[in-house]
Amino acid sequence: MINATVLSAILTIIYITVITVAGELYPPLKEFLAKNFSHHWIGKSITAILVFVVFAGLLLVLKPKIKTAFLLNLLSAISIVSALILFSFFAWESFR
Amino acid sequence: MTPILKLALIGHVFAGLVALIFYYAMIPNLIGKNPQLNFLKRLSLFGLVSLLVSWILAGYYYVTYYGQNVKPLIKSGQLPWAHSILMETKEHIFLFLPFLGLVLLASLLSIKSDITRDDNLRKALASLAFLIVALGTAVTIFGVVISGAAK
Repeated sequence: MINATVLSAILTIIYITVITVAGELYPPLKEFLAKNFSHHWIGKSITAILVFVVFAGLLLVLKPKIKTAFLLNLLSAISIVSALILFSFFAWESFR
Repeated sequence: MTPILKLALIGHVFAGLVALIFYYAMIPNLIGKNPQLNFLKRLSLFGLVSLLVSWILAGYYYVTYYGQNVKPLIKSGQLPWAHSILMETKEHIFLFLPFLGLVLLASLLSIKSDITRDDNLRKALASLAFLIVALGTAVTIFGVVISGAAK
């Protein structure tokens, strides 16, 4: 169960990063989230939860056999990289 | 600002800081010689609940008030980057935290063997708790700057 949760979290964090950058670069995507969820941030929150739940369910069935410690460290690494990507992207967008 | 909005604004900061305290408290226990699994589970649960409360309160304030009332003030002021860089980064990095918190809790709940015997797992969990504290601290600092820019 734990590997499914960790992998789902990894995919969810990647999703949040991708949808955020994509929404800034392609405004209709951000508008789509705003229109369907009343606000783009609520849309990102809800769809992130959905992504997490769907992948967790899928991975619970697949039962990936990977060392949990490795996956946890991978999750930490991807979170750091994603946070830096977001910060860098908004800094670049702000000054361009 | 209505009393409910003030409560949401103050509440989301308070709940977030409380979460950071819980996750910070986990770190020495995880890296120490005698990690107390039940204690860690409780800290992790309380930390996650605090993050969820912060998520809801922050979302309410952000969606109903910030966009129309605070954002224009910051963007037309002396520190427009406080919104375009810090707020934009903060509001999206925050979304990572509940999932990281959930993983930490799920990991602790699913441990069947003696946690003291698995150094790699303990270190990985400690790293994750530290990451939550680090990201949460960054979010908090960004929030302080944003508040200053709004005055």
